[in-house]
Amino acid sequence: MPRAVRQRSNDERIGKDLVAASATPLLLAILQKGPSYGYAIIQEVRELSGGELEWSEGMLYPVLHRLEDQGLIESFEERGDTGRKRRYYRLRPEGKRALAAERRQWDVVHAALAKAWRTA
Amino acid sequence: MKDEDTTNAVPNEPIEQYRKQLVAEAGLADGDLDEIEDHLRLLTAELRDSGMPAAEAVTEAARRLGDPKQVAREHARVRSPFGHLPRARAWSAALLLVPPLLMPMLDAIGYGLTRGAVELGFGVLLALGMIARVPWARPIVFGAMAFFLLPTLFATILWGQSPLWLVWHLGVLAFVMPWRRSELPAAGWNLVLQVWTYGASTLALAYQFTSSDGTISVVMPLATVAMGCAVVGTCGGILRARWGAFASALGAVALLGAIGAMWSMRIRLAHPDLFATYLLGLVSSGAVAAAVAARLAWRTARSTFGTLQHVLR
Repeated sequence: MPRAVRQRSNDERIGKDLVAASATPLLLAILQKGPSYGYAIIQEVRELSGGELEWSEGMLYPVLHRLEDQGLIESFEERGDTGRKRRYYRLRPEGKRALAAERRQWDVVHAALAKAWRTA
Repeated sequence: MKDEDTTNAVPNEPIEQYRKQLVAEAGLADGDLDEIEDHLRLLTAELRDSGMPAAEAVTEAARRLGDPKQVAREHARVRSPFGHLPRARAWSAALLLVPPLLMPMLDAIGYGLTRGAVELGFGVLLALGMIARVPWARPIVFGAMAFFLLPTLFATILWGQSPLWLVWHLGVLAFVMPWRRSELPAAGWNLVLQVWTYGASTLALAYQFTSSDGTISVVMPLATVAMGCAVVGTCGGILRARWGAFASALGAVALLGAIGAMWSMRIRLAHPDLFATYLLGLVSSGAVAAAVAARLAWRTARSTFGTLQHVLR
């Protein structure tokens, strides 16, 4: 059975730089809702962006580890129902402050762009 | 907390292959590898449940996760192959280490450039290295503190050394110890074991062994060889060079020889049997550590001559 696959053109695709820039605030915002793990975080990003944000899934972990190294989040291990250990991440107080700062900055960018596009 | 446990009956071989490729490119810690494997399994299960054949699902999952070489390289930029130590713990350990090492080091230098002065000076440099986040400083400090814990305990209990030293020792150990699996990958454990071997060799050197007929023992030359091998093995471990494994293997053989000599000469020491057992036990642990380090060094080596990539970062 032929499958209709809609290929996004380069213009429609969200640029790599923007994806990278939005990674930290997105991850912090997702973890603000509660502890989560890599696979679930990727699902949430997909859901939040309606599938528009395409993350290379393997690249999520270096970002999470960098945030952990910066002291914004922390990880802990817990066993799932299958008995396998799984690494979860949660926000630290420093992460909450960083998220508030990110939010202010993105609001400014968003407001500026909105104004610019209204007048364009 | 979200959780999904749909990992049953996914094909293992391609997943293990992906994991091996990650290890080959960068020595990731087991915890980090497990995390990526967990993701791969969940993604495979999701694709399979959506109707994709299992073999195709695992290939697609691996594609979506990304080229393992690239994923490993990205990891290596964030995580050192020698492990990860949070800044606060690195500073705490260094601040605890430096003052008690600095004074005896200056004293020892007063008597010339003795081995003791060099070792203490290196300890100070390692402590400063931890502050500067030199990645291999922590496993070396941990190895030294772990090995000398028993001698410190012994000295406190049997020879009346101030218990403050034991408290200090345990304090430093608590900060540098890998409390979680992800903190110290295999390349880091290799360095820990190299230092353990070095410690065992110095212990074998510290006592004068003579045979029952008074001839000079071979313990000293063999322990010196093992000590040299541990130093070479540590350098090889930092560079992640294959030759480090050969040095460790030679060190293991030399220490085994020293243990054999100690045993056959019935250790003529002016101490009770307990002390001889303790001494033989620790030196033997050095031989085991050298053998395991040889295997780890081989497994985590990047190439025959190694790389300078993680020497400073």
